Amino acid sequence: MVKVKIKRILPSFTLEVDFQVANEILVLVGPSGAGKSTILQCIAGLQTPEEGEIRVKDKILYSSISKINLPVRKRRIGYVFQDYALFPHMTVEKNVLYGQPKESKSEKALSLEEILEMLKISHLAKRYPREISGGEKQRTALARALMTEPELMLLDEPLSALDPDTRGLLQQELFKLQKHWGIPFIMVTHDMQEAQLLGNQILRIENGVFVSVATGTG
Amino acid sequence: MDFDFSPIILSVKVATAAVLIVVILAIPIATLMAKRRFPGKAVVESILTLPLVLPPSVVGFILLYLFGKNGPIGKALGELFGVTVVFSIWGAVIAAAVVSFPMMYQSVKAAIESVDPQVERAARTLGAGELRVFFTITIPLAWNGVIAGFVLAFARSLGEFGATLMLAGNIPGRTSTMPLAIYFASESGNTREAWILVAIMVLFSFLVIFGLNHWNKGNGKNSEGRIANG
Repeated sequence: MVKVKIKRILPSFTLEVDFQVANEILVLVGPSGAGKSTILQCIAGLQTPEEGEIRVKDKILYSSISKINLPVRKRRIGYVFQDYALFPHMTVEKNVLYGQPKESKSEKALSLEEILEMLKISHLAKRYPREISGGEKQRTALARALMTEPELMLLDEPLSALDPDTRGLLQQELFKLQKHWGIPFIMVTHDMQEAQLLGNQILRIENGVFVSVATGTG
Repeated sequence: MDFDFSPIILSVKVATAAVLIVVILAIPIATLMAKRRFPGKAVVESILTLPLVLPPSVVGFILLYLFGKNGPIGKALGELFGVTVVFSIWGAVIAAAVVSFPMMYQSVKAAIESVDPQVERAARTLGAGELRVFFTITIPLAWNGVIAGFVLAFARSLGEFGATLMLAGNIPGRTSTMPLAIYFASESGNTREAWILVAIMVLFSFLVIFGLNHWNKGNGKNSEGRIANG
């Protein structure tokens, strides 16, 4: 269970949101500049809100009242960036292994081989990011984030740069991955169709506040 | 054959020591300047690159004041360690380090600024602390700039004349590096020795420029592969 209640003052408006996610997929939709990515970055610790509290399970990641602000590296959150942000000087395999914990903390943890297999990128293990397609980069980014044994996955427009076929395929796989891992996924998209397909819960955001709440078919 | 090889050996020693000092100082300073914002940053930036535009005699004069027997640094070094900088090989090393510092600094800073911050953020979300991000992501991705800065700083150190002359003087075998030896050989009519040293300097400088250009070209075609495979 993830609980987020934050206030973040941005140049053109104030972002103020309050929501919870169980072990399911929450989709944040809305026009660009509405504050969707800011929410993800606050949860991951890449930005600090002015006020509020962020909890994952029983762990407080951020609390303005108790003056807690856990550094990014200690939050155990898998983050998939819109432009993948793969390490260009490392192979797919090295990318995926970068965040592997020294000692596994979870019984759901998979080996490198299993993760590569699950994301169908075993044959790309020795390739560099510049040698693989957009869809393959996205699979690598997902594998890399999952390898850290995260307690929460954040996905910032993960499929927006892909062609429709690859996109459809990866939508189904995201769905399966979430079922397998059984951790909350928070995903940002501006595509309402995608939101309805994948989201158990859909929150529509405009100018920093939620304007509607819906349940998807996901 | 009565050719004196000591200027060549001395030059290599001085340039190597100077570049070592420059690497140790320039990489952390360039990283801080590329990543952090603070009041007065523009002033600090200007001071760090000042030796690039100052006449070497001005640099030499200031260094002579600072490191002289009664200068603020020179006095402390003398009292604490019994070291004299002026007219010693250390004078030549310090002069070379100061004038070549901006070459390394500018090259490394530009390279670090060109590293995509999103990639560094990704490393942090994967559990990496700042040191690990620096050594496994930032430096490998800025490697071209580090190497280019290193080579340019070495070449600049090897060619240093004005500040070295003022701080270290021209003591054969101790502070008479190649550029100084050329000047004094030419002055005293020893044309043959001057020509040999000039030929070595020209050849070396040519190789540096040629090598860097060639290497940059290769990197332009395949910038990520070069680092990845190298």
